[in-house]
Amino acid sequence: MIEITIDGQTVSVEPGTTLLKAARAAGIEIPTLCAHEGLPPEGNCRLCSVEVTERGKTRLAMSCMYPANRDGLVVRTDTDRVRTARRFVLQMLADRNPKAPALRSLCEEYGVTPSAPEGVEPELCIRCGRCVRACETNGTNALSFAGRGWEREVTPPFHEASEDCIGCLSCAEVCPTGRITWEEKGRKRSIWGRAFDMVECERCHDRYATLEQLRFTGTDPETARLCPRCRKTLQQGRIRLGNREL
Amino acid sequence: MEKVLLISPEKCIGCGSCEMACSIGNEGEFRPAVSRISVHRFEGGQNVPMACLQCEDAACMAACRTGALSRNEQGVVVVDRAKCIGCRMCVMACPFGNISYSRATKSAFKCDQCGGDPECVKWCPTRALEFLPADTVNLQRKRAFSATMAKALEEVKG
Amino acid sequence: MTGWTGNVLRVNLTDGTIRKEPLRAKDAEAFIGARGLGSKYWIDDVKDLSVDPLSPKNNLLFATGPLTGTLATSGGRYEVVCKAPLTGTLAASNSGGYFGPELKYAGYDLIIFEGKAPKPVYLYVYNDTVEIRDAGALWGKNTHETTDAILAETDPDAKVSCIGPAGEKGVLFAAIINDKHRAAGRSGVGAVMGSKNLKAVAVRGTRGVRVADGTGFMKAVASAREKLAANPVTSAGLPAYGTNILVNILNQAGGLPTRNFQTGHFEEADAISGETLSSTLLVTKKGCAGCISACGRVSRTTGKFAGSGEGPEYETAWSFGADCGISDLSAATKANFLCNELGIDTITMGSTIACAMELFEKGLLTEAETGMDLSFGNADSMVEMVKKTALREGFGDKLALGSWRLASAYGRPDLSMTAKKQEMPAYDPRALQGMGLEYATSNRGGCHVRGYLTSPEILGLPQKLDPDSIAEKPAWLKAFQDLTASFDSAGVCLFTTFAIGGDELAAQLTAATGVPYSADSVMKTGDRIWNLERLFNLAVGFTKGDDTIPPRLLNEPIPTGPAKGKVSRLPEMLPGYYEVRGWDEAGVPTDAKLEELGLERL
Repeated sequence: MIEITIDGQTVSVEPGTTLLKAARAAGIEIPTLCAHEGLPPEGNCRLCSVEVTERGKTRLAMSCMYPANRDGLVVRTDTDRVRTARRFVLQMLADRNPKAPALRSLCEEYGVTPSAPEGVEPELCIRCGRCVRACETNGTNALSFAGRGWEREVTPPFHEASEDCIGCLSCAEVCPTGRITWEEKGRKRSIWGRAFDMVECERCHDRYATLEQLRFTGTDPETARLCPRCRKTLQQGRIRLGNREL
Repeated sequence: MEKVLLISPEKCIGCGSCEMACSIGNEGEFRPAVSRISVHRFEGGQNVPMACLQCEDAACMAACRTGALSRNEQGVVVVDRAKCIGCRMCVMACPFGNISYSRATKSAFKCDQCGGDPECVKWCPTRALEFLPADTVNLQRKRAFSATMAKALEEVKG
Repeated sequence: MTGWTGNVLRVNLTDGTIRKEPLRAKDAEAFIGARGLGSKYWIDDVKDLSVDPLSPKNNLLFATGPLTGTLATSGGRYEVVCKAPLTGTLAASNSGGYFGPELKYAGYDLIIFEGKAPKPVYLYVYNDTVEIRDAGALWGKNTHETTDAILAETDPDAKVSCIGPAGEKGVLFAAIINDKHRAAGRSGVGAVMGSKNLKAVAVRGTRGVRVADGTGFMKAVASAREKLAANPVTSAGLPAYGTNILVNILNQAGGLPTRNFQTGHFEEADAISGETLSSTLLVTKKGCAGCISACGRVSRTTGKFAGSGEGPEYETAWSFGADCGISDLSAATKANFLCNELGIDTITMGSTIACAMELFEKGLLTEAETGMDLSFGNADSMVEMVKKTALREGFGDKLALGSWRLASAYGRPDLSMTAKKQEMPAYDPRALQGMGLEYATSNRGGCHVRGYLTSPEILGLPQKLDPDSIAEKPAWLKAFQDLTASFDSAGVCLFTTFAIGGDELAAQLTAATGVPYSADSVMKTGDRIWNLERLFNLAVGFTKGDDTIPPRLLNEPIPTGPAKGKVSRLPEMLPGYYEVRGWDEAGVPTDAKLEELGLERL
């Protein structure tokens, strides 16, 4: 274990722990948009900037990526410099995505007003890449960033419905702004331009998963005939017979 | 000593106290739909409560890619909500339907034995649910129960 | 709101409109829920209290209480409220099982049905999705077939409350059956449902019921449960033998009405007792939602009365047993199964058959008319008569109107063992003086669950009262009636009152709703509900003269058994009862009483 100081507080952490994790463990809140504890950090949103003093040098660093490797590291999460950096990031994000609810409270906190520049179409994607990383982590790899600079965007490869997508909705679940939408209508679930056939539970007729989801998970076809709720009932029924015959 | 959650369906009267105690303990409201334990009432008066069996070879854990599911020191499979990315593969994988996903909290949820003091056991009026030291006798009882389930599952597949 | 969901579902069956409206908080506080609040809503909505119970103008309410669906002591109850076709009073029929809690989980305190559907329908509620669906294919099916069919086309985990053929055909004591075996049994609520072309209500709810103070609530429940666990009736008697434990007890007291109340002692009582049931037909016991007593009986019969289902309760074992002079428990149990499947109230059914048997015994009815030998003790005829009555076939068509109309048609209304035209259950008022006063003054007519003085008179709970004394009975009855009204309205089971009282109910209600209830206010609320029901009765023409029981019980001493020689001394108790109630000599609440309770005359 090593000892570092965050906002004057001495914190003991495993070497290699990111500053973000260390701060949160100590109860110090650092704003983030792209960080997700289940996904590898990528430093996309740059909102988690903090001031780090190491070997006499002070600089800004992204706390989600920065590992604490040395005793005596000093971290400050709420200096003017940090706030200015976050304001700058927020202003850029808010100008392009004025309606994203996840940004609104942060803008209020940091005193940022979206300026709605002319010619900029308001949108919701803040290029945090959570969706891309979720899809990678799942092993489905159906999403990636395409284009550069202002044109950078999340899309299935070649802007076409991806064959690798299983319709699991992870991307939508981790999206902090609600940009990724999907639809369920009748027997179909649609997302990213692809429509999936839903598997219907034989007992309750709930359309509970896509065929691709079940295949990808390797769910036994017998098990897959029932939705989770009805699997439980089936098991309960079998236990009943094991215990008492009527 | 570790403890095991033992279920004795023949003692269950179907009152659903377990579901209500579980949901108010974990969700702050009486809501059987999100209870980690559920009791099914069959025709003929047979009632079967069921919660996660903390399988030794847990399909849910094997399916999870983010480390959101792990086994704690008590041998209980627990969910780290912050790590769940909503892929629902654990839900698809569990053959017993003992793990669910909540769109509201954006996380999988399952029985974690309330951190070592299960509410369902506390409120069960007939001791159909018990939480007992994992000694030889109780482990044997738990294995017998699991074996019934495993056998049942094999029969379905066969 | 907490405890209450705060939502009312209003369904107009005539034009098919469905509206969700907020619960009236002030009324909810004053009348709690279920029986009390349902009655208040019925009266305020319908306004014309003289409506024909079987007309579209009679509203039909499925009403839960604030404790329904919580872990509260036996908080699994709901109430069906409407104007009763059997009695002309307000009906509030209570039922357990799992339907009531499910309605709360779907997000509703009350469903109010208005009007009449142009064709058979059922209502499917899945949280906010509420649909009136076609029930053409279900019409004519029994309650089990109906339940299975609806579960297959909605959700296998939905809960269903429905009517059988008896409700469709307007049997005046048709019941509404939920979870296949639980009955909102009395006063003919099933006939009202049938008159609306409403076959069933199916509910699936995945939401929650919140309480104001979770920690306080769980503490209140734990403390009340401790009392239930320490009480011999709720912790031992009911779980082991069900309510039918009472057969031998009442028989030993000389108060088990036998052969249409001709006497109070049945020689073969043990054959139909809970003890016999437990050692013969019982498969297992079963609890309703949130119940630790599990008085429900799952049973199976074999032989010519083969069947399976739930029951019999004490009242049922009595009505089809002792009251019909029948000692075959299988026959009584089979009749019970049939009643649940066909949707009929077991008490009125058995007592009506008993009445027919006495008419038959006295030669006022002949076999040519009845189509069968209706002698006391004929189990085959009794079981057959249940089916014929439910389907209104042959002589069953006459039984379908209840014993009062049957006996009147043969010039002998005195042979109908009813109060306000509703059949009295299994306690002879000549052996239990308090129960006589209870039957006479019950706002819905002959009934044992409106102030159960059997508890002190026989079981000695909360203290022993001499069943033969009358002096203290009016005051005790008022207290029991008021307490019961509040328990019913809260959505908890009446049987918990063997062990707990106003303090425990108030603690649970307060923690659930955030409204400060006390033991006193619980009693006063019960008083308010009781008086509201009384005002209804007075407004539709009931008078002091209706607060009575059949002349047999007032004039003919019990001829045999431990209570031999006794008659009911109701006339001596009634004035005292009016007095403790704060009513004038005619049984009308005084202005002062109404002002105290915040009620207005109807």
